[in-house]
Amino acid sequence: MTELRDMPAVMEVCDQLLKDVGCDFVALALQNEVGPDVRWHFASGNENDKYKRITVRFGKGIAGKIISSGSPMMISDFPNDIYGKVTDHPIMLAEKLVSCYAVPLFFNGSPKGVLLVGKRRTYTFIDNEQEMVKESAETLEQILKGHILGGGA
Amino acid sequence: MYSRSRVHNRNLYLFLLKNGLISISVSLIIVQTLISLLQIHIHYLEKIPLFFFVLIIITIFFMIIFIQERKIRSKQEQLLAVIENSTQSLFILDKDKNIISLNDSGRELLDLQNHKVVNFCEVCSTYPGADKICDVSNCFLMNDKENPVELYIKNHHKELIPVQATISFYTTPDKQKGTVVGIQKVSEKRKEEHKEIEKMITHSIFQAQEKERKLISRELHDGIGQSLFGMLLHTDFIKSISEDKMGITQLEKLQQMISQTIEDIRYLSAALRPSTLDNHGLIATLKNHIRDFGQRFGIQINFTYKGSNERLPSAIETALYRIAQEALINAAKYSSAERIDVSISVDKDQNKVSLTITDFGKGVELTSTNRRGVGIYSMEERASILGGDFFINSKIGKGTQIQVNIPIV
Repeated sequence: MTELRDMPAVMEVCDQLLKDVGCDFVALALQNEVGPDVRWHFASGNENDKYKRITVRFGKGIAGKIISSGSPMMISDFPNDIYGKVTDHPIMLAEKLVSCYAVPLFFNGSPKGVLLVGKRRTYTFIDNEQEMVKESAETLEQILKGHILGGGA
Repeated sequence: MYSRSRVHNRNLYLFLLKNGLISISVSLIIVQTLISLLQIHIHYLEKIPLFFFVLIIITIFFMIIFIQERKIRSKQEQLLAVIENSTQSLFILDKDKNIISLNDSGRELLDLQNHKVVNFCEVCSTYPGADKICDVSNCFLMNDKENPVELYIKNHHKELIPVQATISFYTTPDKQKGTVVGIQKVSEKRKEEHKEIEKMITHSIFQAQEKERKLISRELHDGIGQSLFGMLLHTDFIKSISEDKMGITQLEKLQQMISQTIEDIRYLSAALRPSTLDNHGLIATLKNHIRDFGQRFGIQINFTYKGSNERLPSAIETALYRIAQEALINAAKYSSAERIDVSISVDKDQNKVSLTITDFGKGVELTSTNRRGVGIYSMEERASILGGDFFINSKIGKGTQIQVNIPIV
């Protein structure tokens, strides 16, 4: 699979989302082609490159949970309003995020990716912003459809 | 000594002078009475020897009385001084445990100024922390079976003070049983004991925790994990004999789910206590853990090991593994470090093993509160149980270093 960082269309969507929602961080995670693990492939507004190295197990972490459940989730005040352990949220720790909203990306009817927006302060993402994230997720699904399926998933 | 005896003598003279007049008048009366009773008519000059004789006898009587009284008084004074100045707090109780008298030390212990304590039960707290549960028949004040008794005294500010009390009894003037309670603070001794007990408790908690984890981890891995694997094999068999295409697709989905569950179980089992720690030793386990940890948090972790292939004692391996785990979790949680160095070196000559974990994160200011909070206490305890040292060094902006040295026995 070609690196998503090299795909300008993806970058564009993420940067636009960062601007529109007014958040600090946008990232895109995809499930590995082989095996159930999930990796972050692209980020905007990142403080470091840790996200590139983070691999979460299916069902673990924010990305893993969203892919296994197929539904969006929000954290408003990390680490005070989370289920489970602080260490189950590596992307929040790595980027020092305090709030985030994340939605699943569907390919072929099953959740295979995650689009996450986050802020480094307590915040509750309002309906309007949630809609924007969902719309961007749909756009990304379209862009990546050929990429993922063509990549032999 | 000299002036003291002079003072005493002056007391005697004063006493004699005061009593002189009484003595003289009493002697006069006695002599006069004797003469009139015996109806002897003598010249008053002849009365003088008799008068002096009576006077001397009376004076001697008075002197004896004075000496006796002084003896008794000095004994009493001595006793009072001992009680008053004793470092032991003394409470004198009547039969209803009301404090009738207490010494300075006792007043100090209860931190009393103008407040009067009525009953000893108000300051006694045999059950620290909990509400007072007292059984009158078992009260230590009622019998001296367990002498001395350790208990807590609640002072005026409701603070609990650990003390040791000795009980003795006396008979009150109205022939009833009174109690004298001698109380000695044992705070320092007690504190040390508490520390020792705390350490023992922590030790047994660690041991129990490790044992339980091992048990659950094995059960998960060998029990549930194996049955799931059996299920997977069985589905394989069903797949091979099935001709229903729809069924096979569903079966494959089921197989995927089972595989995922097996993975989860393995992961959970390893997270509880990796079986490699028992089978392959600390180094292999730590390498595994570090690889997984680095991947999970996107942190680059470098591991170096200096030493032979020989295994360390199991208790040390467990302790070092848990300390490393804790240190890494702290680093991931708080340091924002991108790089962590972990090194273990076994010094055969000095018979010790050291573990150093350095993160290059933002560092933390170490205060007494966060020292106890972020797992530092448990790392320190794990090291100290094995007779080792634990050092933590942190500089804001530079990172944190943890070093543990444990002697190999």
